[in-house]
Formats: sequence, structure tokens, C-alpha cells
Amino acid sequence: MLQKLLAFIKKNKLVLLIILAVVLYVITKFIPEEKVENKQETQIPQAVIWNSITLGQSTSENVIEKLGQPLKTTEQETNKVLNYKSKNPNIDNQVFVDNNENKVVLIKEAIASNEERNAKEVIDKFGVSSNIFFESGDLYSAPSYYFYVYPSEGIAYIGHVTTGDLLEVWYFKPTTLEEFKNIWIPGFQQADPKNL
Amino acid sequence: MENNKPLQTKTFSPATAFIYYKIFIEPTISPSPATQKASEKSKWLPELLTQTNGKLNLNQLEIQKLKDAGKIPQNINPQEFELALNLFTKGAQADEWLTASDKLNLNEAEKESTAKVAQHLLTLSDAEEELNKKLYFANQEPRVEIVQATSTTPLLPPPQQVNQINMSFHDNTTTMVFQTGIEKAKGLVFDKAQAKLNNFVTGALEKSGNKVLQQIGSKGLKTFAKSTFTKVAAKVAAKLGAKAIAAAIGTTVGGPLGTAIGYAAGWLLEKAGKLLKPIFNGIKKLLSFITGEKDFRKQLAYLGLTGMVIGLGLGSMPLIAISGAVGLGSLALITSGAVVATGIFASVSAALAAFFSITIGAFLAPLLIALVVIPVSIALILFIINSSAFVVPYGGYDIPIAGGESAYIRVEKEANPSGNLPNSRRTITYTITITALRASLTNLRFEETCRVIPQRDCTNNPPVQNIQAGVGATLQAYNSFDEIEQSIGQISPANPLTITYTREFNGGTFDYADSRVTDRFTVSADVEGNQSTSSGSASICFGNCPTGCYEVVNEESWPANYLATFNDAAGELVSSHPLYIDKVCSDGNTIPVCYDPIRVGYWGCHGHFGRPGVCNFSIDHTQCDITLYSGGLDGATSDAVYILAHESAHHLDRISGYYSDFNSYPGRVISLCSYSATSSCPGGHCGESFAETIALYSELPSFWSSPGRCPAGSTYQGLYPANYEFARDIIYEE
Repeated sequence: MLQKLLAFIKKNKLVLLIILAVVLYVITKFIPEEKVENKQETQIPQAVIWNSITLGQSTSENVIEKLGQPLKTTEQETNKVLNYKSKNPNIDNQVFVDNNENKVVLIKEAIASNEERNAKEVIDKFGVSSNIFFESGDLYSAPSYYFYVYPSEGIAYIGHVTTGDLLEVWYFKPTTLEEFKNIWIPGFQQADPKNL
Repeated sequence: MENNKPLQTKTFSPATAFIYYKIFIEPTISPSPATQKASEKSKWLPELLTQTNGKLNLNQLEIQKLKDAGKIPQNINPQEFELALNLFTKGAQADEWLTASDKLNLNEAEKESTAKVAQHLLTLSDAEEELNKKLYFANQEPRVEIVQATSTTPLLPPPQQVNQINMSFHDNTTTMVFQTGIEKAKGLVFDKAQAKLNNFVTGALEKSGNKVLQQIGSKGLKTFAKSTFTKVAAKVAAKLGAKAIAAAIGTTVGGPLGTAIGYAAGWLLEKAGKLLKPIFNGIKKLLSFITGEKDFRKQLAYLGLTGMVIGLGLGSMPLIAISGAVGLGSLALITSGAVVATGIFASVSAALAAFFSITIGAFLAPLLIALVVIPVSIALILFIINSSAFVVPYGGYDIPIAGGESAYIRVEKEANPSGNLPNSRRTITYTITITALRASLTNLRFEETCRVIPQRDCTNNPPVQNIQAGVGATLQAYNSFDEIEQSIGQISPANPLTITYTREFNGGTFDYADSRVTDRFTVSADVEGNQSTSSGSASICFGNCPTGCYEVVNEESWPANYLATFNDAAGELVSSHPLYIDKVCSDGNTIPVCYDPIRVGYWGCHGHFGRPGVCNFSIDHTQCDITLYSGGLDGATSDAVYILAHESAHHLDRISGYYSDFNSYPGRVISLCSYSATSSCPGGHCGESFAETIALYSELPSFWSSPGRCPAGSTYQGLYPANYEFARDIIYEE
């Protein structure tokens, strides 16, 4: 039986080699890809937390429980926006809650100049982002602040191009760059990091 | 004798009735919510045109740029283009226009002129296809009707209806003129609208075509006319569609369609091979890959015959005919050994000829011509149009360069010696030339002022001496400028007035060391029932005069007046607000400042060395940190100070963290009445508010209390106390 099998293999070694190669190719090229995708999904951090509010998990009730009654509440497309006092006397912090799922989807933290917060705090933790955006339109001056996005980290900031001064830090549930761009900064244009 | 009449009247004799044409753009469908919606989406263009009196005013640089790019003809008639723009805005289509104008009894030159209008109209509708559709629908799918009329006066009568434009041709010169009847707009709204309209038009033209068809224009007017007509007529043919083609079966194809095809055939054979060589090479490579054949004729034969078989299977007669023609023709070429020298079009044409020679029976000729020649020709023509240029070049869009503070008076002032001078006693001779631009100037008033920076008035000290004035080369001595006013009754366009005088800058240990002296001469006059004012300046720098870190780029490209005004403003900022300028210059670099003659609605731009997507430029602005336009330089120095302070604040924002302080400054207001762009904060950064907050502290612009801006009699501090304090305490530290 074994001899027959060996003879068969010997006789058809070329064909078998080809089949083997094809099978290996399929295994290496196709099947693992799916696994990688699954793996990637599990790699996305699930929890971005700001002031005890977990992005993608906390509800509006949780927000009110942690931060108290908002200064004002507005509706913005499919979201409810809760405003809270920030350290900047002119700009509130904003918590965006998805109306359908009642989950916090975005937090905009307004920064005051006397906080002396700098982009370095984000860069030291997550590295330099190459996902840099600005809002195009009728511009009469070159931008001095850009929007730096870390989609897989769930963080973005508006920072000064040379000093790194922060105006706002945004927190969101980690996602893809495309999804973040489409949902939160649809009118923005990607900037060339070499030509800011 | 002076000609004070409008341009369109000057060549007609008052006693002779003349022919003009009423163009009606009439709706053909009833208004509906859908047309209303289209109107809402497209109304910005009619609004812009209303605000600019239906006129376009591209400046020479914009025009030259478009010419260089092959986007507009070299000798384009602005009236023809403007008429096309007006027709486009009313939703008129090129084919409608051409059909309507074809019915008129026009001479050849006039026909050519209307064909050019159609060409421009087609350019716009091609480039702005979506907008064209909206305007067409918004105007209720209008048809164009042109009615001949006569006038007993030499004036082209204004239109009686909103949807009417009147047009005429100058005697035998056939220079077209038209009237839209739009009320005369002016002022800031006009300027802004003009800038937007310019942007729209230049943008549309830039989108259209490329340079390849320039050669056709250079072949001469006759060829040009044919090619223009060909393209327009080709579009007409395309719009006529299958029914019209079918209707042409068995008949001689005449009219515009026939002429177009006639022109097209010759033109295609002559030009297409060269023009489309790169495309042709690409197609060859692709065909080689698909068919496995290197011989292009064999490739065509394969594809053509395959297409014919597919066409038979599908029952598609055009596909059978075209593919068959290509396939059989290519085979014919192969068998006859002919060389395909000029590319696919020559091949197709030869193929068609071969096909006909082999297979056509006499009775089938009209049918096959209709089915094969017309679709193939149209397809090729449209291919050419869609893949190459549309507009052909020729010579001069003679619109004067925009800018200057008066349309009636030009004041040019020169200092001799000028520029940078050592710290030593010096007599300066000033020469002023006052030119009437459109009509005679009467009731002349002169004002002469002198200013030294660091701040000092020098109008009377040192005194003006050796005053002379006159028309032409002979000058006469006067004791004062008042005496000249009384002596010279008027200045006519043909005879500019020249005034010269001197000032002797000396003083004990030279009072003017390290200072800038700016001398300004202002002329006011009555002209065409209006009062008009214009001024000219000359500026001299003694020693190390104050300039901060500003550096004028390409000094020779600046009009002398504007340069003097800029120098004056820079000196003013530097000497009056040293701590602000210290901050602006704190990175140790110079700030290159450019002048751009493009006509835009704003006065300055912080382009920061050519950052993309910022402002409009007609110059290479990669060397410019700040760019100034005529608006801030053609008036008072205070306006120049304001705009320079504004743009410098953008620079400060770029190099420092002061914006962050502004962002957190309690009570600061973002939206400021003097500048509408402050109402938005692109990307969460209210940069315009920051810059305006700082600029308004230095000077209020002359438009501060203009309609739609800030309340009359209001002050900056009164309206925006927090912004004022931020500027004073944090930025200027005064």
C-alpha cells in the first residue's frame, strides 16, 4: 500500500508539487489575511477614558453623574452635545452623545493658555502623527494651527505648527482614519507634513 | 474735442438709424419646485453678475496667465466673452445661441463674432457642466430668440426686460457691444463681487482644455473661424442626437451640421495625428497587449471585426457599421500595404474610405453615410474636444490693470534723488505728473504733505521751493500750489500737467538722520459730474531709516506710489508701535513683502511662502511671507498701516503662541464688524479675528463705518473692549 503510494507520489511528483505550492500559496496569502484582520480588530484599544467617562461606553446619564448638569445641551445631527465649563473662559468642553445608542462618541476638551499644555504630551505617548489636517476654504492666511489625528489611539488635537501649543484635545472611540475623517472632520483637507 | 459718451455710441452718426439686436432668453417650461431648487443652488452667479453690472474685469496678469496657458485667445474681444458669460448665466445654451444667430442676416465678420460668443459659451458650459445644467433648469430650459431692431438714436437702447440683452456691431468693424440693463453697481460690494466673478471665470477657463489647439489659432483668422465654428457645430450635432441624424438619411447633410462635418473631416486628417500622438501611443500599447499583435493595422482589424461580430450578435447597427468599417478598412490597408502614418484617425478615415470602396452600392450610399460617416465624425470630433483644448489663442484682452484710487485721475510722483540716501544735507526735487484718464478735470485742488518717520510733520519745514508747472516741456514758475490751481483751468486727457518743486533737507546736525521722509501730493477735481481724488507719493530713506524686519520683494514691480505708501506704513508701525514690531520680528528673520497686482476683494494675504490653498495670486509668491494688493495701498497711509498690521499679526501667530493667549482672553469677541471673515474659525483657529484684533488697534481702516460694516461714530474700544485691551496690553504693550 505504502509502496503504491510512494510510487504514485514519485510518478506524479511534479503535479503534487504544484498542488502543494498552490495550497501553500492559498494558506499564506488568503487564510492568514482573515486572521490578521481579526487580530487587528482585537488590537484596537477599547477604552479611551477622560474624566472617568469611557468613550463608546458611557451614557449621557453616566456623564451627568460624573460631571454634573451641563451648562447647556444642544442637538448636532445625530448627537446630543453637553457643554461643561473648561479652564478656557471663552470655550466650553463638549461631550457628544450618540442619540441612537446613548453612548459618548466624542469629547472636545478646550485648553486655556495658562494651562501651558503642549502637543508634546501626546507626542511623547503616541509618537508624531502623520495624519495632519486643516480646514480648507476661503483662507487668507497660512494655517498656524493644524489638526493632528491618532485614529487608533482615540485622540486628536489642534496644535500650533511650531510651538505645539494646544487649543483643543479630542477623545473618541478608536477607529480608522477614514471613519474619523468622514464623521468628525468631513470638510478638512490632509496636509503635507513636509509643507506645513 | 472730448468724447464723454459711452463707448458704444462713439462710432455712430446721431442722424443715422442703426441696426441692433434684441436677444431674448425665454423660458420654455413653467416654474416648479424643481426649477426653484435649481435656482437656489445656482443663483450666486446671477447675483455676482448683477453686482458687477454684467461685466468682467480681469487684470492684465490674469489675462496673460490665461493666454500663456492657452486658455483664452490672444486677441479675444472682451465684449464677446462677457456676452457669453451673461448668456451662460441666463441658462442659454451654445447650440440655441448658434441656431438663433444663424437666422440673422449678418455679414461674415458678424457671423464670426457670434460664433466666437458660442465658442466662449461652450467653453463655460463645458468647464462648468453641473452649474450649466442648474442654470438651464433654473431659467426654465430657455430658448434663445434674436430679433433685429432699429434705433433712431446713436445709443444702443437698454433692454426692456430682465431676460433680454441688446447687442449691436460697430459699423463695419463688427466690434460687438451689448447691454444687459443691469443697474450700475459700485463700491465694496462691486469690488468683492468682481473678485469672486474673476475667480469663477479664471477657474472655469483653467479647467477647460489645454494648449494643443493653439496652433489652429495661429493659422489665421479664416482657419480659426472654421475651427471655432466646427467645435460649436459639433456640439450642436451632438445635441441634435440620433433623430436628427436619422432625418438626414438620403439627403445632403447641410447647414451647421454639414459644414461642421466638412470642416471636421479636413481638420481631423490634418491635425489629429500630431495632436493626439501621446494618446495614440497609449492606445497602441493597450491594443498590442489585448490583441497580441504589434502591427497597429492588424490590431485594428482584429478589434474592428470582433466589434462587428459582437454588433451583429447584439443587433447594434452603429456598432456593426463602425466596427466593420474599422476592421475591413484596416484589412484593406494591410493588404494594400499602406502605411498608417498619422494615427488612429487617419486610419479610421482610410478605413472608412476603403470600406465604402469595397462594399457600397450606389443606392446604399446615403444610408451608410448617415449611419457611418456622421456618427464616426461626431464621435471623433467630440473625442477631440473632450481630450484637447477648446480655446484658441490670439491677441489682446485690452482691459486696463485694476487698481489705483481713481478711475479719472492718475497722479505720479517721483523724487530725485530717490531711494536710500546717506545721512547728509540734500535737496530733493519732486516731479508730479497729473493725467486725466477719461475726461477733462476741472475745479482743481492740490494738497501737498510731508511726513518724517520717526514721527514728525515736514509739510512746512523744510519749505517747498522752486515751484514750477506747465503742460508739455515748458514750465512756468509759481509761488504756491494755490496759484497753479487758479491759473490752470482744466487738465485734458491729451495734456497732462507737470508740477515740480524742491525741498532742502538739512538742519543743524542733519535733522533727518536715520529717518524716512514721505512726500504726498493729492489732487481733487470735478470730472463727469463727480468729484474725484487721487494722490501720489515718493519716499526717501536717510541712513538707517526704520523698516523693522520688512523687506520689499521685487521692488521694481511695485508701482512707485504703492511702494512709497508701504514704506510710509512700515515706518509708521515701526516707530509708533515698536514693541509690537519687536514681537513680529522676534524670530530673527526678515519678512519678505510682495505686491500682487491681481484684482481681489481683500487687501493683503499672509501666504507664508506659498502655502497652498491660501488667497489668490498672480505672481510667484513662494518668496513672499506677506502679499499686499492694491486696495490697501492706493489710499491713505492709515489703510496701509492697518493692513500691514493685520498681515503682520498673522505672521506673529505663525511664529509664536500669542494666539493661544487671545483664545483664552476673557471676553474677547471673535466676529468683528470690520471684517466678515472673522465670523468663521477654520479648523478651530480664529486667525482672522486675532489679526483683526491687533490691526484695529493700530488704525481703523477707511471702510470702518461703511454700510454693512461697523456703526457710524463707533470706536474700536467702545465696541470690543476686551479685544482692544488684549491688543493694547498683550501685543502692543502701550
